[in-house]
Amino acid sequence: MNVHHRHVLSLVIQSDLAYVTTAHSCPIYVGDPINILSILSDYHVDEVLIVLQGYRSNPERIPNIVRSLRLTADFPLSFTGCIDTQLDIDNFFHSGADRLFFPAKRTLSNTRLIEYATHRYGQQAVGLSVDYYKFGSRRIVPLLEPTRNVELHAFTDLFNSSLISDILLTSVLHSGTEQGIDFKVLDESCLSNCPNPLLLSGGLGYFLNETMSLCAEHHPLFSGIASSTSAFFLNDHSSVLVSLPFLSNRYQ
Amino acid sequence: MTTIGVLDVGIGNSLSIVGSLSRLGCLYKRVTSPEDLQTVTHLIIPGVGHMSSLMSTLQFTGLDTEIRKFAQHHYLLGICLGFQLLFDFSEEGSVPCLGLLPGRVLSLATHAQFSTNVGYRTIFPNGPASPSTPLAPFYFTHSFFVPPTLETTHISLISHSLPIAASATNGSNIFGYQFHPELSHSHGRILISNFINLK
Repeated sequence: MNVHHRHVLSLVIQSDLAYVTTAHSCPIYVGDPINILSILSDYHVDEVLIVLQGYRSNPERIPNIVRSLRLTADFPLSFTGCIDTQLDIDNFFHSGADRLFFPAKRTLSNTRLIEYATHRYGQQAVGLSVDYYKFGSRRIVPLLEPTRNVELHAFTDLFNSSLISDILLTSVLHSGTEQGIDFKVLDESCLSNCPNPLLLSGGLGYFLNETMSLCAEHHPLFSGIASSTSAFFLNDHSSVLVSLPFLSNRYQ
Repeated sequence: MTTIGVLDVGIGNSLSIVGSLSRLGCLYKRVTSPEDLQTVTHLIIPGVGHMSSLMSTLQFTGLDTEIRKFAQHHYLLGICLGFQLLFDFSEEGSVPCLGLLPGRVLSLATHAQFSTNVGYRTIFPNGPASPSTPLAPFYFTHSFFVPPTLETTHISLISHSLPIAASATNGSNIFGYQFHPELSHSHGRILISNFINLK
């Protein structure tokens, strides 16, 4: 079938400056966000997830930064962070966002925001981000424990509600071990039967092409992998096709 | 003289189209009212939105009727939601659409058992006489789809058994893409360029 699993790069923007993150380290400043997206456009990246941080005290600046990024990038732009009200949602979409990712923990307790976003901007524009290991207070995966976890029904109801498109599953690597994706947990979770495209995240520096295939085998709706843009910017650009093997394969 | 219009009624990602036109060095006008339509020769209807929200906005402004009239003599391009808008009816909100192309927009969740088709997909020319060579991947993101019709020029396969209309035309002046050419790098830029150069 003609499916190209996508590689979503995440980029942190704070105070109108761009940062990348690496495992267990502080964000590293990499430059002006517009320049960064221009470079990524030249390399035909699949998609970028912008993580906005520190804008809650001055949300009026969000439309400008989103609009500037949108006019620069010729690829899909998703956003997360600082989405607290219906006005925030309108501002993001009116400024050119293609998709918003809402945090699962807050969304489970109040679906009002995603209902508004879906009914105005469409289901395909609303994603859900779930932190695999840090969800809940016990640092275990609640999805593994269907009989003991009251939140499971809320999750499955949400998956089947026609309110969301992608599920972005973060920290899906074996916690802290850098030993690859925890497929056992993934297989046994309620996510194995959900109807939503699944994005896996957790440190692409360790991913190989085979990992993408393995992910596809373990979830029929596996859609791609999300990773920090650090693989790009912490290496010289000549290594970009090594760091982003899925891109190099597509255009061979 | 060619004047490109981009529909901008608060539903739809008009800025992604504007960015694409700017990269092509093309001037454009925002179309927010029926009066604006009188000043353009080509109209692009962008994607991202809910069909019932878009249709109610078009009806409120009177643009639904005016776009139908516009499409009788001018060039029209619908992208994603704008593509679906061209057909007769959508299950997204169960609303009648513009009816410029025959066909119905169906729900993926109901007809394909998954919620959203998202990612880069190759497309194939439709019809037995067409070559089977796949074309470059384009970016799709949609939860509703149009089954192939006689007006379908290209299809995409979102599962082994489910072809969808990737593009359609009336054969003269109305065009639509289910995918997003403006988000599909240089491949998509060529499609936008082709449309704005139609005379």
